[in-house]
Amino acid sequence: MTQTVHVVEDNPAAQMSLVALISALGFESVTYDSAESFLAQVDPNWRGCVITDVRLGGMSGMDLQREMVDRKLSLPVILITAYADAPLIEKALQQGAIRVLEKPCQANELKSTIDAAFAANAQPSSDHRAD
Amino acid sequence: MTAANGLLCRRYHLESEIASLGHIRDQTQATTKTFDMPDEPRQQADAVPAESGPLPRITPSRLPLIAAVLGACAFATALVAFFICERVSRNAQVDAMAQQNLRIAQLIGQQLEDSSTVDTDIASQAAAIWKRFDDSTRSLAIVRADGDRLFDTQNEESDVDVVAQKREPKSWSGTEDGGERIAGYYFSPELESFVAVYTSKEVYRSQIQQSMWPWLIGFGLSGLILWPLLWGAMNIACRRHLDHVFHVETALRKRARAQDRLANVVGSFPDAIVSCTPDRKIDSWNAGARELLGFRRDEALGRDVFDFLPQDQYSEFEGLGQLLQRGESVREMETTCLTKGDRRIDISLTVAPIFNSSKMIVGAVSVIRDLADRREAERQQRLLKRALDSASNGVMIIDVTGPGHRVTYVNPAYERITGYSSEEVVGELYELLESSSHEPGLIQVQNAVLRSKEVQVVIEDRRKDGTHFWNELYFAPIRDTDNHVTHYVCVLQDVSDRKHAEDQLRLSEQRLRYTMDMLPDMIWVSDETKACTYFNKTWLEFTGRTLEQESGNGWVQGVHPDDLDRCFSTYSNAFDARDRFEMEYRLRRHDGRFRTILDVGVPWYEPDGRFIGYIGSCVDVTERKATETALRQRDIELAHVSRLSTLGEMVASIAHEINQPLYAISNFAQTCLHSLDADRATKEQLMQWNTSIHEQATRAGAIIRRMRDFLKKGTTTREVVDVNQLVLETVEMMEFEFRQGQIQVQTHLVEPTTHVMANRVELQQVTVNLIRNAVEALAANTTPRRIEIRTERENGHAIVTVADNGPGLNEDVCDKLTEPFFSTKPDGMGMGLAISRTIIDAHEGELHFDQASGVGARVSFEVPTTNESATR
Repeated sequence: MTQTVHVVEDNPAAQMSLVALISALGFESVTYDSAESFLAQVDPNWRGCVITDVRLGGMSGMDLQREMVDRKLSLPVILITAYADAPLIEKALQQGAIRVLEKPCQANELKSTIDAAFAANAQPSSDHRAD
Repeated sequence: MTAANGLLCRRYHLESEIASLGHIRDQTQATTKTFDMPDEPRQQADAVPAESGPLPRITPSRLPLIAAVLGACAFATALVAFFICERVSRNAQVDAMAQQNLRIAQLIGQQLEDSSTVDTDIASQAAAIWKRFDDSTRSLAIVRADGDRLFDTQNEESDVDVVAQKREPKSWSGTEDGGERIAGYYFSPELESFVAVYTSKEVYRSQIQQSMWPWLIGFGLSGLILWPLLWGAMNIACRRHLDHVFHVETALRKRARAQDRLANVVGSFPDAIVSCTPDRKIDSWNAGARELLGFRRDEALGRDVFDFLPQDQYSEFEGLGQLLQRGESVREMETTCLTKGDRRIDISLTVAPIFNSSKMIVGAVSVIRDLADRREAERQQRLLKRALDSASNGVMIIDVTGPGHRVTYVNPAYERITGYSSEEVVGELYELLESSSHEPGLIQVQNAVLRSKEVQVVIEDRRKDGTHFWNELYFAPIRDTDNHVTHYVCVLQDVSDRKHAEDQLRLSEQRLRYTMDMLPDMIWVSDETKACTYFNKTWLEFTGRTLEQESGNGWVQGVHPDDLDRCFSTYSNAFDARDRFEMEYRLRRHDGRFRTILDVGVPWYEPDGRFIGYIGSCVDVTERKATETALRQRDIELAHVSRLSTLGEMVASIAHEINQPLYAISNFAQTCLHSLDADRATKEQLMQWNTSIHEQATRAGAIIRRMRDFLKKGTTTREVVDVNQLVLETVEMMEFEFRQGQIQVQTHLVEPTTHVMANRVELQQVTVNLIRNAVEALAANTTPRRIEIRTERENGHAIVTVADNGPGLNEDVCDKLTEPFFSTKPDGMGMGLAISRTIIDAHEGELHFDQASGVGARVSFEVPTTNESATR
C-alpha cells in the first residue's frame, strides 16, 4: 500500500503551494480544507502522514493531533506554523508529533521529515509503544 | 257809396274788438286766474294771444295805401256801371241802326218803284240811286222774292238773297247772320223784290267806338276831379278812426305782452304753481308742477284738487278750503301730496284765494315746493349735529368776524373734557387766541391763527374744577365763499392717558436700552431697510467705535475683508426672506485684532405683525472655536491611537495573513527549484507556479497597504465614500478573524450603493469596531456563529448594520456602551465605541444599539448621504 501525505490547510494558496512542493519532492498528496473535514474522512488503515497548519479556522492543528491520539489513529503528524516557539514545539512533540516545521519551511527539511514520518508509520505498534 | 259801406263795416268790427278789450282789462285787473299758463314759456313775446282774435294791422303809415285801395274799388265799380250802360245803349243803337237802314231801304225802294218801268233797268237804277247816297258804311242789295239777286254792292257771295228767300214778303229790320249784319229790308210789292240795306259789324263797331269817346272822356274828367276829393274825404275819415284804433291796439298789445310775460314768469318758476276754481277744479298748471307732480298740463287741467292728495289729508284740506273762502291765505304749510304713480312726497304749500276786481273770490292759487332737498339738508344737519354730539373729541366753534372772538358752539364732549357747560361758554369771549402767553403751545397756536393756518399742539390745561390734564388742541380756520376766515374750529382731546403711556414707553425704552447695554452679548438692531440703527454698549466697546460710525452700514468696515461678502449676503438673503440667520465672521476688535463672532439675527415685528427690522446678538467665539478645533484634533488623534490599538490587538491575525502569502511564495519557489533540478517540470507548471508567486506577493502587498491606510495619521478631509465598497474591504481585512472564529459572515448590500461624504479611514474604523465587537461577542460558545452585515438607505441616510447571534446586550450596558473606558470585555480598553460615537457625531450621523430584535446584538450607524447619491 502506497504512503500518502494528507495535507490539512485552510488557506487555498498555501495549500496549493504545499501540494506542489510535496509533489515536486516525489510524494503523493491529498488535501483537506480543515481539520474537521480530515477527521470526517480519515481511515485507520491509511498509510503515510498528515501535514497540518497549526493555525486553522475552526479546530487547530494541535487539536487535530490530540484528536487523532484520542482516536488512536497511528498516522504520524507533522505540524507547520509561523510561530514555532518552544512551548508549542514541546507540547506538540509530547503529543507525538513527528516534527514541528517553521514557515516558510525548507524543501529538504520537509522531505526528510516526510521520509521520517513514512518510516515511522511503517511500524505503527512501535509508535504506540513509544507514546 | 261802396267805400263808405266798407268803412262802416270796418268801424263796427273795430268797436266790437275794443269792447272785448275792455272786458279783458277788467279781468286782468282782478286776478291772474284767467291767464293761460303755458307748459313752456312763450318764445315770441309779441305773439297775438288767442282771445284778441284776428286783429288787422292798421298803422298811420298804411293809410294812403288803404285810401288807394278804396279809391281803386270805387273806380272799378264805376267802370262796371259804365259797361252795363254801354251794353244797354249799344243794343238800342243796333235797333236804331236797323231802323235807319230800313228807312233808307224804303226810300230807295220807293224811288225805284217810282222810276222803274222795265225790270232790267232796276239794277242800273239802283246803282244810280246808291251812287247818289254815297254811303260807304252801308251796302245795298236788291233781291227778288224768289231769291233772284238783282243788285248787290257787295260781292257776289253775300247771302242776302238766301236770307231774303226765307223771309215772308214784308219789310223788317234787325240783325242777321249771327249779329254780323244789321239790316233793313223793304219789300216792294210792285217790284216783288226786297230792297236790303245793311251794315257790316266792323262798320257798326267803329261807329259805336266813335260814339263812346265822349263818354270815356267824361268819365276820365270826372275821375280826375273826383279822385282827390274822394281821397281827401277818405283820409280824413280813416285818420279819425284809425288814431283811435291804434291807441286801443297799442294798449291791447301791451296788455297781451304783459300777460305773456306773466305767463312766462309763472311757467319758468321752478316751484309748482297751480290754481283752481272755487269748485276745486284745476285751471292752471305750470312746468314746475309738471316736474314735481309728474302730470302733464293737459292731464291735470280740470281735475279735482283732491285727486292729488292722499285720503288722510282730505279733512285737513277741507279746513284749508274754508280758510280760503274766508279770504285768508296759508304760508308754507308742510304736508304731503301724491305724484303720478301715487308716490307720496313731502311738500311745502303756500295757498291764497284769488279775488277779481269786484273783490269776489274766484279761485285759489298755490305754490308748492318739494321738501325732499330741505328734508335731506335737515337730515344731514341733524346727522352732523348728532355726530358732533357723540364725538369723543371736544369741538368748539369760534366766531372771529366780530370785534372779539366769541364761542358759538361747543359739543357735549367739550363739556365733559373741560367741565364747562355749553351755557357757560357759548356767547362768551374766547381770549386764548389773543391773550399774551408764554406757553410755547399757545404761542404756536396764536402764530398759526395770525397766518390763518391749521395747527395742532398739546398743552397742559386745567378743567373747571382746577384739575390738571393734557389737552391736545387742533385749530383749523373755516372760510366763507370769499375765502375769508369767519370761524375757527377747535378740536380738543384729553390726551393725559396717552401722554402717560408715552412717558411709560419712553421709560421702558430707556430701561430696555440700559438692559441691552448691560448685556455681555453684543446687540444690534436694524430697521426694515437693513440699515442698522442701534448697537449696544458692549458692541461699541468691542469695536471701539461710536454709534454714529457703526450706524447704517458702518459696521461692515470692521468685518474681515475675506468674510465680508459672505457675511453681507447671508444677512441680506435672510433679511429678504425674513428668516432667522446665524453666521460667523471675523470682526476687528478695538485693539485691531480680528475676533471670530457668532452672530444670530431674528426678524422683529410690531404687535400688529408689521415687520420693523432685525435684532441680533453676537458673541465672541474665538476661544470657543479654538477649543473646538483643539478638541477635534484630539479626537482625531485619539481615533488614530485607537486604530493603532485595534491593529495591535489584531496583530497576530495580521501577521498570519501576511505570512500565508509569504509561505505560499516560498513553497512555489522551492517547487520550481526542485522541479528544475530534477528536470521534471513542464513549462506550463513553471508558469503556473510563477503566476501564483506573483499573485501571493500582490496579496501580501495589498494587506500591508490596507494596514498602512488604516494607520494613516488622522485628517479632517472628507471625500465621497462608497459605503458598499467600504464594507466589502473591511470584511476582507477581517476575513481571518472570521475564519479563526469560525464565523459565517453574510453581507446584504443595498443596490445601487450609497455614497456619503465622510472621512474614509474614520468611517472604516467605526465599521471595524462594530465587526470586531460582534466577533468578540461570538468568541464564547455560540454555534453556529453568524454575523450579518447590511447596508441600507433610508430618508437620505446610509445605514450600516452589524448584527450577531451572540449573547446580546442588556439595557444597562447599552447606556454605557459609548462611555470611554467602559468595556464588557476583560481585556478591552473601552475606547472603541466611544471613539466610534465621536466619529459618527462628527459626521452628523447616529449610532444605534438594538437588543430588542431577538437573539444577539444589532449595532448600526447612519450618516447622511451626499446629494450625488440621493439624486440617483
